[in-house]
Amino acid sequence: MPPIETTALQPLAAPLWFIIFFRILGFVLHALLMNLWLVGIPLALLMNRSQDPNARRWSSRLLRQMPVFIAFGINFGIVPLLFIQYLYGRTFYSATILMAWHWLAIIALLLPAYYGIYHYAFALKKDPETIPGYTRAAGWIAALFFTIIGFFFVNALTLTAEPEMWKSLWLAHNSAGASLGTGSAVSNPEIWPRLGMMISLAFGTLAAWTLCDRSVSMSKEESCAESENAYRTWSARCARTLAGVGMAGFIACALAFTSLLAKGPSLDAPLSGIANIWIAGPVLTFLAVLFLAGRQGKAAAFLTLVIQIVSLSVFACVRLWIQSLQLESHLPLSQFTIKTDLGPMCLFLGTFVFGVLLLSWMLAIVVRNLRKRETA
Amino acid sequence: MDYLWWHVPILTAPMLIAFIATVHVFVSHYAVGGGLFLAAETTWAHKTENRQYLDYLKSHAKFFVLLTVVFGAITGVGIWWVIGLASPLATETLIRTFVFGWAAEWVFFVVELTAAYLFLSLWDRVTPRDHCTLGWLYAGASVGTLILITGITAFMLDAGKWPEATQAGMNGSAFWLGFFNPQFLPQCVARIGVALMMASTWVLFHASIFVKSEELKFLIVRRTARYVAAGVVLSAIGILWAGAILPEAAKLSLMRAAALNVILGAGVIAAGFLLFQLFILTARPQWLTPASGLAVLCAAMGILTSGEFIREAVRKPFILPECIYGNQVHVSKVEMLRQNGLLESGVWTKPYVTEKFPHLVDAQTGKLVLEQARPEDEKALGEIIFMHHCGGCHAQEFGYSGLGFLSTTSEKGEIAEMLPRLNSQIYSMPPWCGTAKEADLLAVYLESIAKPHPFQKSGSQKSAPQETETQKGAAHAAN
Ligand code: HEC
Repeated sequence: MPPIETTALQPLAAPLWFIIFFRILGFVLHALLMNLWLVGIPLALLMNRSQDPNARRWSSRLLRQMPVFIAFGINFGIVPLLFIQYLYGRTFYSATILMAWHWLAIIALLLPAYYGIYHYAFALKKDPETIPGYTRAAGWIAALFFTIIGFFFVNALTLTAEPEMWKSLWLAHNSAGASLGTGSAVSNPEIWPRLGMMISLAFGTLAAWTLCDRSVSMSKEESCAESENAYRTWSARCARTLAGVGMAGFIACALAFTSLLAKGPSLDAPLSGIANIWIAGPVLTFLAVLFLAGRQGKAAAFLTLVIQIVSLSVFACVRLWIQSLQLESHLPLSQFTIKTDLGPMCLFLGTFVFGVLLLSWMLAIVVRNLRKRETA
Repeated sequence: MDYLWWHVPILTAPMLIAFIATVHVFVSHYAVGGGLFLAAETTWAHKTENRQYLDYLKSHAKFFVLLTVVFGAITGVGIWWVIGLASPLATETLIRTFVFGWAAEWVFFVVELTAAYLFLSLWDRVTPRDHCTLGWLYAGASVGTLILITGITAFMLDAGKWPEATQAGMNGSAFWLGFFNPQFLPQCVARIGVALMMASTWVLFHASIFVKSEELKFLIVRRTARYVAAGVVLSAIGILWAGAILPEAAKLSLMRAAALNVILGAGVIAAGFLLFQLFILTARPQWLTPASGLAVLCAAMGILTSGEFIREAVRKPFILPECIYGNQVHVSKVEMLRQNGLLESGVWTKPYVTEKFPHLVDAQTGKLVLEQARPEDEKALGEIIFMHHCGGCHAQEFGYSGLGFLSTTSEKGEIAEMLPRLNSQIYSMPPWCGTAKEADLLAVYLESIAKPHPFQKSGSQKSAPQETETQKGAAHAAN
């Protein structure tokens, strides 16, 4: 048995479904934005060099919005991270301590990567036609760092869910029984399809972004009708390609992942069923993008976004399900007792509702002022 | 004992917390104070229709967002990362108690972030009234985050009735009992004051570099002076109040540790220097140059660093007051560890010893029998005990509070004798958490890394000079 503390856990302060609901909500919001930087940054940097003005337009719009996506993406990540510690701290801490320096490196990599993207976005704002070499370099370094960060996350979450891996890692990376923090999960082939699934999903999210962004950025002026038309066709093709690549990649990775799981310690789960449910998400996104990409208007575009969110939610739910199955023999769900503490729960819920109201208020301010400017 | 221990050579893992937390607070306090500053000043500038000042505020807001949204937010996440690695048990306990406090804080972060971006990007594009509303929404949300996190950080200094209540099998809400701890209100006042001070110094620093017009410089310095004044008053009240009701043990620690005396003194000197500078600058705004701007900022950072360091240090031996010791041991487990042994009871130490020293495992009971240790095993076993018992506060041969230096010894057996009374003199250390045999094993290890006493040769002519000293002293006293 892996070294996991076995004394009874303190009771949870809220029902399990409540915690899981917010964990999934946070994860989906986080994944949506994280997808954009994971795949969006390298693709946009490539497209930025293209001869095709449409590709450059796509690229600079995405990169100029990127700092905000990063800010909110990191922010939304707080919620799932809080609740995974709340539920699975017992394996999460030891897993991250095994790879402590890699885990901590995420912070050290995030800081320069984020500033690098800000730098690039400022350069684009100043003059999109002449991006200096060092700015491009900063962009590529950021892209590389974000990929490494994704890789470390996959490592940490794999180690969290599979304590069977700990012992050999620990014995290879310790000093008098204490972890040196230099371990990783690379010996486990599962991490590659896991990373692959996330990257593939990101293509779908990027496709949805392409359509949404197009729908809000099209100019109605007569003089640019031609270029707008060209961009409309180009971006529809771009979105379809992205969603197609994402779907194909996801199918391959999900099948690889579930077959690796099937080889590992026996899980009490219908793995092929899981693979099918998983795959349904990106297929749905692909179909939505395929049919809606040609349509104009915001409704169709935002419908693809909603469908992608559904597809990410399906992914998140199944992912949590697998995680709890993998941990069932160490930290069975039945071990969680519940002693609802209404006060703090209401504090959070109240703040949440209040926060949503404040956000709506701000949105109303934006809309009101934009309308005023349009009519003026 | 419950979690894997992270060994950070030379520095010790908790020092990484101190480092990240310190650079974080420079910016996180600015995020709160700067929000109040920008909201109030933008409101004033709109009201007086001062274009020049508005333009300055816009450029400041840009700097503010770049610093707080990126550096502030990421180092904040960094604290989370590093506390989970360096103090998993304490982090787990905090999260189990305050999970919804953090969740609520996150909501404030979302509001804060949205308001910050809109405030900046819609500058000149929304009506002045709406613009001010956005600024105040930001300020309000950021004060909300400060209040929520202060409940938790103040708890770490003085948990009030919480430890007793939870150990007696808590009825009712542990959350509120912990959150409204004795240090909560004074620390809120202090932190808001410090936030205003910190924001003022960042404003002066920024203006000293980017503002060329003398007239504008005058205006900025004069306006900022109000925040400095409010900040000084609030932080002085808060700090004195918090200091006055500090738990006895923390007060004593602050007084008796020489290093803390020096840090406290340095903080006070930095505060004096800062006030003096601000006073001069208010009288002579033209003296605001990049050099003096930087000096002001550095002085403020110096005060914060000393404050945070003291806050961390006076908590010892606890990470969480009367609940979890610095060696990741729950208070209620000390007796059990003394009975059954640290190596036997640790979730990770037991499998480690079993793996490396299989001959110590009793075939029948499966328990470790340390008495069977061969002489050549002793040092290695001692080092395991060191890692898990001392490694949170002491480096090994060399480094932060390294035991190679601290356990200077001249006599064999001296250390082994001291260990069971670990906290009798220096109560910033946890009590001894092991068996007598384990003390002997640790002593073997410590003796192997201890530096020899520079003035005493070990063995035969033991401590002769000291004896004469004491005799002299005794004679002196008799006279
Ligand atoms: C919670 C933190 C903490 C832990 C854990 C801890 N110590 Fe200490 N120790 C301290 C502090 C604080 C001091 C005072 C340091 C100073 O004055 O610089 C100290 C001082 C010492 C000294 C010097 C005593 C003197 O008279 O100056 C020795 C020796 C020592 N510790 C040994 C140990 C050993 C051995 C362990 C493990 C069994 C241990 N400590 C665990 C915090 C700790």
